[in-house]
Amino acid sequence: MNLKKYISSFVSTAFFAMLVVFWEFFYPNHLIQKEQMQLFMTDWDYFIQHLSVPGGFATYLGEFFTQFFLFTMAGAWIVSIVLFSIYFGVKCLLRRLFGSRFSLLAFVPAIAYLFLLCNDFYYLSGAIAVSLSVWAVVGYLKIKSPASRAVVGFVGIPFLYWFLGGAYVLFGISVIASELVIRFSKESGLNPMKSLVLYIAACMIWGVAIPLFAHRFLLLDTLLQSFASSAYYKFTLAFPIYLKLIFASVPAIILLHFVFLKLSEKIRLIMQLGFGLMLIGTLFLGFKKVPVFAEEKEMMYSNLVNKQDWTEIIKQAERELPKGQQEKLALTLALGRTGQLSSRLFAFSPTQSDFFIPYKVHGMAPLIANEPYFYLGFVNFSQMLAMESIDSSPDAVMPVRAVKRYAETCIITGQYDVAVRFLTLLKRTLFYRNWATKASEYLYNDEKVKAHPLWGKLRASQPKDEFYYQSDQMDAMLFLLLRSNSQNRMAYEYLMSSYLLQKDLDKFLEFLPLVKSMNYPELPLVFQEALAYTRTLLTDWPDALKAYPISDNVSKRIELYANAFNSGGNKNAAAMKQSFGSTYWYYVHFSEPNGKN
Amino acid sequence: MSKISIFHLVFFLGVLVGCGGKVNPGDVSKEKPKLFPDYVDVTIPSTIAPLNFKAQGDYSAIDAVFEGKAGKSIRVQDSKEICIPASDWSELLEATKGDSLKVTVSVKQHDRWKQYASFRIHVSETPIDYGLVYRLIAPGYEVYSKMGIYQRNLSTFDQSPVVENTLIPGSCVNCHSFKLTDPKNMNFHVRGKKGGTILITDGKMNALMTKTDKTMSNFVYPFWHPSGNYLAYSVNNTHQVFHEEKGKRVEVGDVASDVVVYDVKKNEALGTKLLMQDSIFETFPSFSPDGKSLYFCRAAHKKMPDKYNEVRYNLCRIAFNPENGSFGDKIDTLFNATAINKSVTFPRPSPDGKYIMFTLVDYGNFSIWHKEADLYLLDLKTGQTRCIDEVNSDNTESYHSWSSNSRWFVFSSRRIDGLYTRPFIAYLDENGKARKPFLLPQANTDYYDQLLYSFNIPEFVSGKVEVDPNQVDQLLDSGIKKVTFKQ
Repeated sequence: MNLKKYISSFVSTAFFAMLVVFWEFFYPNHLIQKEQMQLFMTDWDYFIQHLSVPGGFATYLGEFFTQFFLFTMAGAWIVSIVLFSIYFGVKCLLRRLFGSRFSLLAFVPAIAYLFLLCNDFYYLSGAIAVSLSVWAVVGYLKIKSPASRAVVGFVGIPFLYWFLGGAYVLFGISVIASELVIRFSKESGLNPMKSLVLYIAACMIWGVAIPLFAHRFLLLDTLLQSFASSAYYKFTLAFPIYLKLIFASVPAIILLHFVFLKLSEKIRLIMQLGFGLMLIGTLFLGFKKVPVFAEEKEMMYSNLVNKQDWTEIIKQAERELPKGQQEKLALTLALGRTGQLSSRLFAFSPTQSDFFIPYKVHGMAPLIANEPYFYLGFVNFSQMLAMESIDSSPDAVMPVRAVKRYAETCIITGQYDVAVRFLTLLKRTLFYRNWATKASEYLYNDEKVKAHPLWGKLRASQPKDEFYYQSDQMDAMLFLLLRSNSQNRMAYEYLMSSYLLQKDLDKFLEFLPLVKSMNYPELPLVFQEALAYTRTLLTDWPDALKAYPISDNVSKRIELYANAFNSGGNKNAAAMKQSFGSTYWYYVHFSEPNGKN
Repeated sequence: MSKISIFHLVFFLGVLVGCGGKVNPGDVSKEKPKLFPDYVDVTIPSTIAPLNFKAQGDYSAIDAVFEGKAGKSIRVQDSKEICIPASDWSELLEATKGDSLKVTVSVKQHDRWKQYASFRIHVSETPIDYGLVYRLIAPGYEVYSKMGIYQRNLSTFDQSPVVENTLIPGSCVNCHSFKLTDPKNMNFHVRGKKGGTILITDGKMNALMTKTDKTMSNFVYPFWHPSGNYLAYSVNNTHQVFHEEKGKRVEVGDVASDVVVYDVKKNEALGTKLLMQDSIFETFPSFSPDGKSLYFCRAAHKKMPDKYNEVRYNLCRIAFNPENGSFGDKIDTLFNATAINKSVTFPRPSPDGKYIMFTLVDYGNFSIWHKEADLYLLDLKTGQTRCIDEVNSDNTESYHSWSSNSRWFVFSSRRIDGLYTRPFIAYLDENGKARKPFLLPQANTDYYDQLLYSFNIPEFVSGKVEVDPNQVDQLLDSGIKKVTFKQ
């Protein structure tokens, strides 16, 4: 193996390693969410259904592999292999056309797709389709006879169009570019002009005519979609320029490399080095600008909620305070689920809007939006938001996470006939089959549902009063929920937290007596702090409030707080935050319900 | 290798023996079978597609014998479902017109055949229209992903799209209606950024921008005048609320609503103060078959959404002069639903002018989300109203539409699972008595189990609907006509 081969192998390996590291350690939650956004079914019907539209086979493959994203490592490796196969395909293509000369240009489409996949609107199926199209060109070039190549090219265009969708364009143009290279190369004894022009014209007419024919006679879709297919981009309104550029990049690379080889060895070396630096720069800049790490963090929280890993959510929040809406919602939910909302809420700089994501008609309802409603016992609202997530999916693909939640809510509310439909879908999947089979055992069995550790409690928590969803009246809704089930500790903590965040001590005191029915071992810390603060506002401490003991520690701490506050702390929020940032008193004096300090 | 081949041969023969041959029932039950769909003792038109079904419960094989007139019969046996050969079925129905089929179903359970008591399928001589047009939409809340308006040939299982929202990206398509059942005179709305009302008159398509300065919204619920020269529309300012109470989901109501009549020739919305009162909600207009009366629903205004469950609509009528597009000067109440604490929706006069069928609910006007919603029939000759118990169920019955000869009606019902709306067709005899309805047959008996869309607004059509989606797109882009208003 000569030095160039070593360098080539090293660069290829480094590229693959970089891909795996990025997806496994820096962007895994995006992959997990991609899995949650689809419902891949393993049966024959589902496969056939996909084959009935252009690009359907690519979509099927993309969904098939995406189902494994449930496991972080598998997801990272699958995406990396697909992207690497694009690179390796282009490399093989160049090798077949030009011999063993290594070109860094081969990295361009793979790197471009790497950054596209950071955006959830682009499918893995698109990358697979591009890869398969590139390898189809490699296969095409293995054919030595020009006549046979022409036949394969002609058959390949409709074949790839139907199975891979828009990437047939990549194949078609790459074939044309390859033929140009072959026929203009010195070794070729063919007359370049006559046959070439005919072949190019035929390929182009064929490539345009086939989608037009499909649009006219086979498909009920927009003209754009008839050419592009839905294997690449979630929105049918547009076909982004980036995808067009990737399709164009492969034939462009072929032509550029052809020109490149005409240059002297020295200039080629300089250009390779220059291009190498450019690629490194692009990667550096790309990793800095393209991945949205704030979104990745939001998704991490959302995924942890899906796994019900409440401890990990709190751990993450302890390391760094959550910033995004979904992160904060996950944290308050985790605190609520672990019974820490009434003891640790103010340690995390809470705001009034941390508890629920307001319902919006525009855009897709986030998968996490239904979660607090579900665990609180607002099962109908949870069901509504789960259905909204399903129905607002821009590509009309059912998100498996929302489907699962929807089925759960149907079981809890006793809508067994509807639950059956959704469980049947889940039974057709690889990874949700067992869950759905077990869940099916609860159908039409009220006693079994009542005995379920979560579903039973949620069924018992369902409100008995009639009221409707009003996002600006959550307190009233929580109150009605609590009235239906006075043992619903999480609803109680959400309600009391809301009053405390609004600094509405009258309401806090009004609902304080309910604390006795919640079976706390002692009065929760946050309540103690609020009571201690209330005591400082009153000249006489009513007998009724004496029934709620404030610990010595809290009493001492508020004294220290009062001293610090009166000794200039009232004008030094930062110093007060350092010592008392996790107390209710600090919140009362230095924070606003909307989060302003 | 040879062992595998012999095994396969034995297995194959076993299957042949097990699923074919003569059935000798070991048990004969006095009960009629429980089928899905329930086709026991239904009345059907002679041109309907095969009524494929499966039996409820577990079995390893099912056998059905259909015996018609003149000794004609069909026997079908399968391990899962009864799928009747279309040509045999068609011949059998044709031969049995005006009489009934005797159907005997047996199932094989634990290697024993059990035969159920035979039942009848009555084959009416009264023809039914060519097909149905309906919207398929997920029964969601506010948002929608994929939906479309589809047509179905009633004699076959062929369903094809009339228009899908994917053709006009980001849009919603709704409220399709026909002049009687004429496929060449059709109306539907496209909602969204690129929205409008599509009006097809005698096959010619127009796109209308229907919001005027004097009306609160675009046109909403349509109904064609029998002449084809007018369409009545409601204009509604609608809102939704979402229930938390168990067993309820969504409530859709109007903050305000009026009724107008659109003059097709003049491209003009005609209004009258009597149908545009601030203190009244007016909605769901429909013309009488002679075109001289406009029926509609009318309720006293209530503060919404707080008092959504106090809004109750009566069935009313106002005179309409098709010669000049003028309205009468008084409103008659045909059915006083508020007197019995109920509310009327979807009044639909039969084309022969004998009846008005409507839906009755406890309150409001969005009956599809009301479990108590039932169909009622008002006899216009006697003024008597009755609940059509023959077709109602414990669950929702809501939208309904008449066939062109007034002897069949299709209605949407949620009786199967309480959520997904399915189309049922029923026969109404000359005395106004309805027969047991049947679910729209499908080729695959699992079809309804697997379909996660509701059948919305089922309407009869007398022929295939031809809508060029590209023309819809083009007209909405650049050919939209603005409607004017005249009072």
